[in-house]
Amino acid sequence: MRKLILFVILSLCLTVPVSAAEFTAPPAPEEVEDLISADTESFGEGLWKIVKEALEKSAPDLTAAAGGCLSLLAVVILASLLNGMPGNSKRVVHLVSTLALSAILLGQANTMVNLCADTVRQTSEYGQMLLPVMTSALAAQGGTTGATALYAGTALFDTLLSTLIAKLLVPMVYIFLALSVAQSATGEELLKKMRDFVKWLLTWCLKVILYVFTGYLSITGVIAGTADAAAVKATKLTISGVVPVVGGILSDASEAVILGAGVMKSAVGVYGLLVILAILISPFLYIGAQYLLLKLTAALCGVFGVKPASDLVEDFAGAMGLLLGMTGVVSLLMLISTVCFMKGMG
Amino acid sequence: MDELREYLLGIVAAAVLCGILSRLINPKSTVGIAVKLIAGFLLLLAVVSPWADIRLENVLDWADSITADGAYYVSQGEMMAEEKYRAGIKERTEAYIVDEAKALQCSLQAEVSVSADAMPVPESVILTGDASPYARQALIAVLTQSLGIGREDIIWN
Repeated sequence: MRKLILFVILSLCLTVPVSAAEFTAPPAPEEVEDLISADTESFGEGLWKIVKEALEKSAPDLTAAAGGCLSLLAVVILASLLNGMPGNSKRVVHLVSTLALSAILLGQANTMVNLCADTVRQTSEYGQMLLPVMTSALAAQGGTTGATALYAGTALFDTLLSTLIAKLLVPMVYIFLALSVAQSATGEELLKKMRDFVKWLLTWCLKVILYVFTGYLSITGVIAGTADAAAVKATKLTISGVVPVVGGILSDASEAVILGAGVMKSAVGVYGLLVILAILISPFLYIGAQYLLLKLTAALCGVFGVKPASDLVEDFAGAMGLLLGMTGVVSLLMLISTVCFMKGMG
Repeated sequence: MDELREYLLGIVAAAVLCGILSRLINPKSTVGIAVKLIAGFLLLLAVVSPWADIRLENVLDWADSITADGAYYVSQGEMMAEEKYRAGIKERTEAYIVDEAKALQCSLQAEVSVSADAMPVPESVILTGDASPYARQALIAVLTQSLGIGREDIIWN
């Protein structure tokens, strides 16, 4: 019973996200609170603070990632030396080195996959709190058609994408990695084809969702923006006509409301953009650095003449690329949507 | 997650079964070709069958609930804008009446009521303060002609 009462109270809190008097941006998650500047009026300054702090925070993680890549190189050098020695079975060396590389790479990849899943969840959760405020602010500004269309589109695509990433794409990254390891160990052509198919499917899913979403926004933005601008103009003209002499003065009251709502919407939007970027930046830098380091390691492995090892590291770099894509697409979706809300009726 | 695991396991199991069947039978024989065909159908069934369970009504309900949420948030914004707009009209009208009264050499306080329509307009006014009969008549004329407030809706305190 107590749980039910608590649930009802929490549900009521969730259903009234907009304050009656002002539009306020939902607070940033605790993890990124210190990245957000108290003075959020200037987007440029806020962004600079986020980048600076994120770079400072990421430095130890990047050193650890570089250390992991050095371990990979050490294994590859050892395998290359053992291959050169007479009497050693190349097949055994290859299997053992693949296992050693996989152990190091899978540990790193697991951390990155969890980081990506957390970032996607955080971005999506923050977006679900920010969207209602931006919708109400745009509606208060007169953009009712645009606000409804933008909310529906963003909420739909955001829920679809975050669910897809959590339930399908992240497990598929693990499948991709497992296939890569198995292919590297056995050299089986069928496994290679399946691995390539999984990678293609992951990339295709992300691309299609982003293309459809931006297409939807472009079309609804033009149609709804024009309809809303016309409706606001018509309202002002009607007020001027209804009240005999001072109708013009009264219609200015509607202008003041629109301007006030616009200012509030901009402030909420700028804060929201900064929070989304603050959630994104550290994981993006970390996974991005890992991606570049693995690419570099793969190139260096090639120099030592151990092609299967180089291919395996390249595959893991590809997985990092996929994780970067997932994190980036969810954040980009929220950023584009917030900017569209801010632009409103144009 | 469990459903996805089951789905993937189903595909893997079907693929393993198909692999075993194709190894057991000579692929170039007539039976082999038929088995390969059946195996292909089996694999296709494993891939496609969970998708057939997805009901369009569920997807549409979900989309409807998102649209309903959007409409609710929009109505919240409209309500807020309407409140502010009503307050703005009241404030501006009161300021206009006080200015007109000053021009007629009287010091008045005005309390304007705004209509509850979608298009709010000044409806009635309560005037408090001293004014000469001439000033009262002049002010009533201004209020009825400029603001469209009916003579009976102008109340003097």
